[in-house]
Amino acid sequence: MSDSNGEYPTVIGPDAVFKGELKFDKGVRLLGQFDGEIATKGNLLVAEGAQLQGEVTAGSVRVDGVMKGNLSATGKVHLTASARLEGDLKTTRLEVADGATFTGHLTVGPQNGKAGVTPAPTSAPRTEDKAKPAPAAKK
Amino acid sequence: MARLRMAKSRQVRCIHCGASNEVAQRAMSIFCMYCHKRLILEDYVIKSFQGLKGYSTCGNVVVEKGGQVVAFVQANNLDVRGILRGNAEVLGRVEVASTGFLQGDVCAPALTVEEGAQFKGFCRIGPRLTTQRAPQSDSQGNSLPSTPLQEGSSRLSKGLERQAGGNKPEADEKKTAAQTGAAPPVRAVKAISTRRKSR
Repeated sequence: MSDSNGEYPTVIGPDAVFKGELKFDKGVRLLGQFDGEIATKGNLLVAEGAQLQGEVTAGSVRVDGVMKGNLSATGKVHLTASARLEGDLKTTRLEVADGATFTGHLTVGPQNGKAGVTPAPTSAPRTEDKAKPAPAAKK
Repeated sequence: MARLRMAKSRQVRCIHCGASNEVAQRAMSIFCMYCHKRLILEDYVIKSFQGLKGYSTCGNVVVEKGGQVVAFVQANNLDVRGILRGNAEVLGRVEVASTGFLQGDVCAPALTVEEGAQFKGFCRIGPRLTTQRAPQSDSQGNSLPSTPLQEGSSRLSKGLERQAGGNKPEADEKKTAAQTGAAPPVRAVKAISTRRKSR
């Protein structure tokens, strides 16, 4: 319990219904319902039974519950077997376990690592996409 | 028969209907017992540019580093370490390694994208979302609990009966199917003729 509190000092309890905008630095464990916008550099855990609806920009995200909305993460996104995610996802690493459900557009790449903190220039992803296949084509 | 029973076998899931077929260990291609489509059981390892229209196999497809594919991929498991441009429909797991680049829509039960990899496309990740058989119903509208195994065995037994008792007219067969409440038999010949060669 102490480890989880260290990683996720803020807990939104299972009986809580939160609507609005949430900003934090370390980590939040969501057990209840949240409807709104989350912007953080820290970690987010959407626990099993929790419901999250809205835009999320975070460091690394682990989803055990239900989430609807677009998700942008600079770190890893982990969808466990009980997770349900509907929306567009931008991240640098992704793991979707067997049993999880995810429907939406997925963009994974190193360019998403900076996108969460500061808005990336619009022309950057296109140039990187064209540059990436070139080294592999040499062989 | 004794030799057949002694031979090592393995289970292969059909990429078209999702039914499980028991095949010999060394088999390279079969016709699905249930949907009668041809299944290739080989694994594909792509190490260079391949100009094929599509890969359709019940085995695994691995796009190695340096490999490039611009095609539709249908496989049991997909591992991308090179470049893949095209849609993928997978029964098992899709893995995009750190050197991998995947551009296309993916339909699979599980997905892993490592750090450094690039992925762009629409994802439909979930259990049994790839290919599902439509539930059948009888003339009264009641749904029939027909599993692929039951369907296949009934078709097989009908085929054996036909072989034993001579060829029956199709109309009689449809009548008997309507009386028993079973689905009309699917023509295997039609399924084979409409199949497109993947290789």
